[in-house]
Amino acid sequence: MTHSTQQQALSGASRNAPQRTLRTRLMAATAALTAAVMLLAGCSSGGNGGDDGTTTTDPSKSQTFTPKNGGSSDTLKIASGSENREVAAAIQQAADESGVTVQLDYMGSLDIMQSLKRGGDQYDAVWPASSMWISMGDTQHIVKDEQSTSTTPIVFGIAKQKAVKLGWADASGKTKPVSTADLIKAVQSGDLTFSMTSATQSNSGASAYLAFLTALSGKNEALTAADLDDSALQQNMKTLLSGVNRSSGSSDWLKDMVVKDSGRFDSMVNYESLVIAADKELTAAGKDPLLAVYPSDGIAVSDSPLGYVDRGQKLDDAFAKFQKALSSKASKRLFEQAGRRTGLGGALAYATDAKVKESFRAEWGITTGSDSLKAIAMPSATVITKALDVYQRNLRKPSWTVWVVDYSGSMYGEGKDGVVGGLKAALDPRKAAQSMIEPGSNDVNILIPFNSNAMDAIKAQGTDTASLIDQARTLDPSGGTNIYDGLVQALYNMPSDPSLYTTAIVLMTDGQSSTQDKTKFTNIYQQNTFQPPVFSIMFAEADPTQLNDLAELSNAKVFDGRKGDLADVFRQVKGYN
Amino acid sequence: MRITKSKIIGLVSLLVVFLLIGGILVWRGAQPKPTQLNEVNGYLGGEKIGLFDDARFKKLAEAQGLDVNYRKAGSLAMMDADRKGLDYLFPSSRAAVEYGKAKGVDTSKGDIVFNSPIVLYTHKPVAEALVKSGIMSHDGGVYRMDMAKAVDAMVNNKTWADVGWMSGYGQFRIDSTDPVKSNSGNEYAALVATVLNGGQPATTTSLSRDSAKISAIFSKSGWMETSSEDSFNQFLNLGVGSKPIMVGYESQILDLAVNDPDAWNQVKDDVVIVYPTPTVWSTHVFIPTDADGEILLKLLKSSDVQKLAWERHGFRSADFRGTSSISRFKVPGTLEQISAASELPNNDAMQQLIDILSKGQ
Repeated sequence: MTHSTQQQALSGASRNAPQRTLRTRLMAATAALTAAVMLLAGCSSGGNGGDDGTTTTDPSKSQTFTPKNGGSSDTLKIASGSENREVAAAIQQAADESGVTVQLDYMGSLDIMQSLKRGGDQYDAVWPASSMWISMGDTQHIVKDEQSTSTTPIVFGIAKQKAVKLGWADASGKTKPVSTADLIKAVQSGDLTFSMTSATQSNSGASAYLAFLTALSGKNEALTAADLDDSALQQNMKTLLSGVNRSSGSSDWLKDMVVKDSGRFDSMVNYESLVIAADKELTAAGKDPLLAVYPSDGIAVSDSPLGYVDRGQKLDDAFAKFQKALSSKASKRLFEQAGRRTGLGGALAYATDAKVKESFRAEWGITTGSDSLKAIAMPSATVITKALDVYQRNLRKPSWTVWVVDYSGSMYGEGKDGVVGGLKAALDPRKAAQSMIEPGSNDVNILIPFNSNAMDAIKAQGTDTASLIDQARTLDPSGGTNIYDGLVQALYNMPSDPSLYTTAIVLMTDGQSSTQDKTKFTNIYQQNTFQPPVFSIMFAEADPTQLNDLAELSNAKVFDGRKGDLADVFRQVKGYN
Repeated sequence: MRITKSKIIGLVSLLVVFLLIGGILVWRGAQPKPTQLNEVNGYLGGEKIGLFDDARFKKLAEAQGLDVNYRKAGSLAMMDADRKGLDYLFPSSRAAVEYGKAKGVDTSKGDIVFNSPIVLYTHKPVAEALVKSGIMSHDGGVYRMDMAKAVDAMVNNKTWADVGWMSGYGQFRIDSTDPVKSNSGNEYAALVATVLNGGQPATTTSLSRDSAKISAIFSKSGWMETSSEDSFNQFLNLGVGSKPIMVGYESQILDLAVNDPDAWNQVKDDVVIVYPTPTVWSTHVFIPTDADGEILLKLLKSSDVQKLAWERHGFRSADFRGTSSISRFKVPGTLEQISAASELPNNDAMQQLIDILSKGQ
């Protein structure tokens, strides 16, 4: 017995070795290709790059912090949760103090967990929002020196007017204890809808979901696998999640979206630190702030751990320097000024600092006393996995996704192969389950292929997506590009009752579109009472301006599929819905 | 041939040059070689990372020609992990060694390096409440937990309010690391099983009888870290709501007091060390798997490292005592000598205990 497991372990290791070198080579090749593409792009785009800052990459995906005195020999590549964009000042301070350059690649906590399971990819460190993702992902024992950088509870941010109307706050911004049952009641009466990240893609969504479940189980102790089978609990959870009006794969993006259209999105579930960040922007724009409401029967707390990934790359000294600088008083003060807590036991360490006071403001409902933080007992790893599975298959609000896909002539070959691979990755139940985005029985997916005109819509109900994928595969690309006609068709294919679904249009295109139908689309969109987000996947020669306009119009986002694996991008987009 | 003065000067200076070069070579040869350090790598229980990362320890290791590296792993998990290319295993208990032996690990060269008692950590309000209700005592400045009463309260599903702490939510529980993967949780499970057996080390018979009770006690905790170090950090960072009482090693708070005075100052009025009665010893056994590992073992047993490990990281020696008085740490409520310690169950019983707990997960 013992013998065979050992042999398995050994042969497993030797099987991995050639794979790893192949991956390294592929990565090198991709990097070279990317560099070449960027050079070309640089030549053709001329002077209108116009990015501020020193980096050329998409700041929502990756950010580099160079020490102000230059002189850095080592660079740490860190797989980081998106919420760390908000603590850039503290990171810059630590880079300056340590002389170490750090590059943060932003991704969801689940991606970080899966990257660790694969051996850490090319990363030197991980920085997810919660240590549970490291514990569940570090099956190869490569993470070292894991240390919490700061803490922040996951709370409701509810527009002040709304909170007062619901009877949950007074005019001073002081909030009352609100239980999960109160939240459910408000959702049922139609008084509360809220935005929340996907529980299977992002830590804030997962943590809030687990806290809701724990509170709803009513036992005040860690959730068990048996609790998850309880139909009353499932029904309550479904009701609460039916209040979700927009989902997202990223906590930071969710905050941006709510701030941008605060008239329409008046509540969100997010980190206390991002409610503070939102309130700074909202108040500056003269708008109603969100009040932090701490569910009285249990909340989850993010502990934001940074840990070294030991792949034998010998950057542990650089890591130690950076980690030490990040826990210096100067950095901690900056963390707190950005709305994170750094004192032990969830307290503030610099409560008297003027800028910290400006963040933790009582009139935004922020409570710094530890008595408002009723942290739940987190369930065990197996229960968490099961809970996320139940969420994806059964409890989340069903999604309605309209895929508007370019079948113009230029898509022939690589482009179409990428699309078919992407649709499979996002919709084939078995493949999609690997990224926890598999369709549930009430989901709807509609494919609208287009070239110079939109073609007939192909609809897939529930988990039966095989025929849709098959038709996507057999259709041959030809003709021109008219994204706007495709989008008009998408608007004609919305659910009759949009409140029953989280809805999104996903546009994928590889070229500049003709614009004869642009005004028509814009008019119909703006006259609609229901305005779904139009996410775009940019490929090959697609025109960023056209796609950015769509994202602006619909408060959505453009995903760059020009480099890397297109299937990955499809997966990411699906995680937003 | 005439030997001119200048020729003599020339020859002499040449000779001087030769002598100088030769001298330098000889002198250099006599110096110790610039040491080519041997990298030693292995699996290390998280609670000993502070020691292995200590610059003083690294210096002592370098003097022996070693560059010591580690991978963090739970004491039991490391016995199942891929050990290819590694020079040592450094778990935290004899039970883990026995477990490894059963899994085919060659433990013959293993030796006891440190000891640390299993303790509980809690917050002052919880401690005071539990003293009032009698589950805990506070005597001569030392908090002790009556394990028989604590286990009884957990078996009977008492709430925090029942045991005196009115602000607590839900059932009274003691959080530990995953008993199937990490040592402190594993030893705590052994302690619970022993208490359920009337204080006698649990046996396969007593475990068969008590298995449902043991599973129920551990299912109260939910999420369990796989490392005692992570667990202690969470305890400090997240505060009383997240882990009211946790199982850890005595060394953890001593290490914190020495190496992170800022953090210690923040928590010293709140965090309380509690000695369970009885407790169990965590015995840190070093298992070299090759020659480099053996050199490291020798180093760990040296008086320099034993002194460093006690004074800066709180690990007691193989004889259960520190190399000097525990008062040096200025941590209130610590014990110089542990009197009430229980033996661990034998290996068959420990295996059965792990089986019981694996099924519960």
